[in-house]
Amino acid sequence: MTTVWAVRLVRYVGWMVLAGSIGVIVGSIVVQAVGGPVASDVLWPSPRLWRYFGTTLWMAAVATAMALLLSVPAVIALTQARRAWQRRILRGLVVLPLVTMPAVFAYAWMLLATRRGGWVAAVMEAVGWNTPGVEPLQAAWVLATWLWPIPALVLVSSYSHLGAPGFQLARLDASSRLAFLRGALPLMRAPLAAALAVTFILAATDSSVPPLMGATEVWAVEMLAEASVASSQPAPIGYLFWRSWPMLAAIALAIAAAIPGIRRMEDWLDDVVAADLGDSASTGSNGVWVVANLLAAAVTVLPIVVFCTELAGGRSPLPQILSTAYRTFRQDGLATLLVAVLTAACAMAIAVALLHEAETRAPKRTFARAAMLMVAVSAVLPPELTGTALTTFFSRISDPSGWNIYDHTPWSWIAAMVARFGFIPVAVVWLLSRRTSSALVAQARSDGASESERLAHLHLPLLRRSLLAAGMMTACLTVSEVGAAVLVQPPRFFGGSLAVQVDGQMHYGRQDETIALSLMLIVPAVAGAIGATWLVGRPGRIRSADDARSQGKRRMASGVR
Amino acid sequence: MRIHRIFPAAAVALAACLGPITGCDRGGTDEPDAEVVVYCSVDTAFAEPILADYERLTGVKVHQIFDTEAGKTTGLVSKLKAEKGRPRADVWWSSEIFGTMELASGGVLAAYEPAGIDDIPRQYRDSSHLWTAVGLRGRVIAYDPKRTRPDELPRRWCDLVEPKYAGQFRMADPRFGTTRGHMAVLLSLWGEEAMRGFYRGLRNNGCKLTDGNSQSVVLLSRGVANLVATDTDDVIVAQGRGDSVAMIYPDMDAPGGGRSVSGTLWIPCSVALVSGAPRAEAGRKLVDFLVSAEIEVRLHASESRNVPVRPGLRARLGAESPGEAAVDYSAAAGLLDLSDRLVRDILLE
Repeated sequence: MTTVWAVRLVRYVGWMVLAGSIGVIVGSIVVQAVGGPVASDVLWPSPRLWRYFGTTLWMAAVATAMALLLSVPAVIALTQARRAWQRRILRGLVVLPLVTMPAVFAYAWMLLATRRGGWVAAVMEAVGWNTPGVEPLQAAWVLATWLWPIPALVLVSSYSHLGAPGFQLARLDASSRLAFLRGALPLMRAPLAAALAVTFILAATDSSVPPLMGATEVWAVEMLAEASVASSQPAPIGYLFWRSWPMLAAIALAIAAAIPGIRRMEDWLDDVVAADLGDSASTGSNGVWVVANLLAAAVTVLPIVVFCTELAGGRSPLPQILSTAYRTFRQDGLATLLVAVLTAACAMAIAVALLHEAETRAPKRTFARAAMLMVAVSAVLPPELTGTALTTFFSRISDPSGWNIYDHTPWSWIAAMVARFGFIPVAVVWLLSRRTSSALVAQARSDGASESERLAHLHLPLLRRSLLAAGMMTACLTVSEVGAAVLVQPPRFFGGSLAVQVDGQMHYGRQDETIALSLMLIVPAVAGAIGATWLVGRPGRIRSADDARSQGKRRMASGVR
Repeated sequence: MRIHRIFPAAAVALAACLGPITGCDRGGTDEPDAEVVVYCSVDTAFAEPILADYERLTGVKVHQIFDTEAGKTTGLVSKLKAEKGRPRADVWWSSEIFGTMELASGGVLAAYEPAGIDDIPRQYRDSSHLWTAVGLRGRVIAYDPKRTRPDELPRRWCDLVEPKYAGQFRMADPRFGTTRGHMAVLLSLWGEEAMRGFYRGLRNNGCKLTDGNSQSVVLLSRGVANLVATDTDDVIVAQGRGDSVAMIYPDMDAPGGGRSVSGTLWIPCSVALVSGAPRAEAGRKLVDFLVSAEIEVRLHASESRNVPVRPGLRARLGAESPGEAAVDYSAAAGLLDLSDRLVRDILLE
């Protein structure tokens, strides 16, 4: 009973969160943009904007290709690992970059590029890293070092689920390489396309790496300038919406390309992070495996090594640097962590609420689908639009003379983060819920189980670990967000956004406190990576009545004792 | 790990989280003058210690909201405009003056004449008392003395369009921060046609934009650029880091033998009370503090090396603003929109 009661409560909380975050943003867009653009030049971008758009797409495409290349060592390392514990460590390492603040990678490369003397400076010189005009390429490289886990994890899991039989068959009369290319790869095409599409979207919309690498002629930077222009417009949200349509259209196309692959992965989506290959024995050589491991580890831990090296040669002793960084940013760190946890909780509540409605019949189910569409749309909106919409709405409805939701709570901030990253738990729950046996659901329905009971006893036991892992990913991404956070920081809360502070400091280049802080920012990412991979690596199961009874007996027995 | 086990634990965790959320943190208070909210685009490293001292001296809790480096002042100016209907900030402390003037003309700021500003010259005070300026930073061209000889440097800003500087010069996006004000000042001094020619010249010379003044200096240190437009404090910070960076103070003469304006632009920080500030009295006290001579001394002593606007203080500290040109900030502020348009239509096109 407790579980059903909790599910009902979470469902209501989920709907309230959805209305107070994504509902506000979509409502603001509908109100301000429905009348069309204020002028024709708003709808049709100038040649300059088209040029920036082209540069951004080119940069994202290069980043995607580089991410695919970077993923190869990790894929080899994961597929050829013989022991489960080896795979567990490796998959934690693979997930780590993805949940680390992308600006941290950019900062590490900035530090490498500004080294004076020594072999690092010589290498950077030799590869022409500081050649003028290659900034978009550098940004693409740094984005690839952040995003390569996506193709790596999808490649590994899709090989396990789709490609392996084809490979085995082709291997009978072909070399390993040919067997993989002609036997396995065609079968893995759709999931791989989905992974590359997601990588492309994240690279194209990131607003922290390109500016730090000096690539300013990109879409995300231009949106910052547009937000400034928008603030003087009568309908700023409508203005920003119409200004951003080319990128929204590009993202929609990428999503359309990803859908077939995502559908293929429905049954084993959580395996993507688990990277669980069962007990299949490896056929590769030890040498290849060791080299692959070293390469994968090098790509993952590069920022950590760079920061540690810099701190070791810092102007002050390491404990003093760490202590100063902690004292300066403690309040912001705590506030950001709190917001990250609450954002994850809110996003998971929305996921449960939508799944609950999906268990009902039309028209509620249609309503749930519409809400899912809203979640997807809000995720791809420019962060400046999200921030402006929430700031305008919540500052207007709350009275500053007393305690209010806008000043004293981080609600606007949480709402912005839910809008940006809430799609992760929602998508995971939605896709994984389909694999719950329809016969079981039908049986439960005919037995008279309500929607909440079916959710509590059928769906959630199977989904809870994946849901928690998705929540952890949401929390990690929230810690790193800058674009919307700068606009929605609560005026009278005890702290602001750590990411905004760090991003500001990183532009100054080599500073001991900023380096220490960047290192500290990897800690929650490590926790997130370990937590997510541990959770999805342990399959959930539905409790039978016998389970419940035997547990009840055990409890009674222990009580007697 | 079942939900009915997780739920009570989650509820307890949530309750623990709700403490700070509901304002029960150590700094929260409901007394209107016991706290104050400041939106600040002055660099955190310089502003935070000053605000912390104010808190310690007065016991008033200071809530601080900072901007990103890329959009210096832009993010917070947008936030102030979005909140105009029901303002939440009490004080606006900006690293430059032009965004502040824009806010003043938009009705976002309130009139208030701070105490103890009699020794601040007229050009650093708004005639309607909507803002007060302190702590100047100069607009300079930074270079690496190991790579560029003094005789190869431009003497005037307009020299940057000469072919010999092709591919060598970079500056922050002129739609943000102090670079925005700098370009508006040049527009006010040179006129629209000369400015169009300047932007065309820069574009033809392959002038690239950066993500901020400090990043311009980082690119200079990396050898990606040979000359960058930036603020004095960014050069001083880089020099303190050991980078090989020096700076010059170019004149603002108009191109083509036009108006002669010797000296470069010095841009002050600015402080203002927000119109409709919920804690106006506390805001006024903080404004008094931020425009005081004591803070000018502290800003000068910091790595930012802001030059005081108070002549007496300058003499006492031995602070100099080399090549300081006399400019009409308000004339430039009135041209910000036109300046932005020219940047978009010519330099960026």
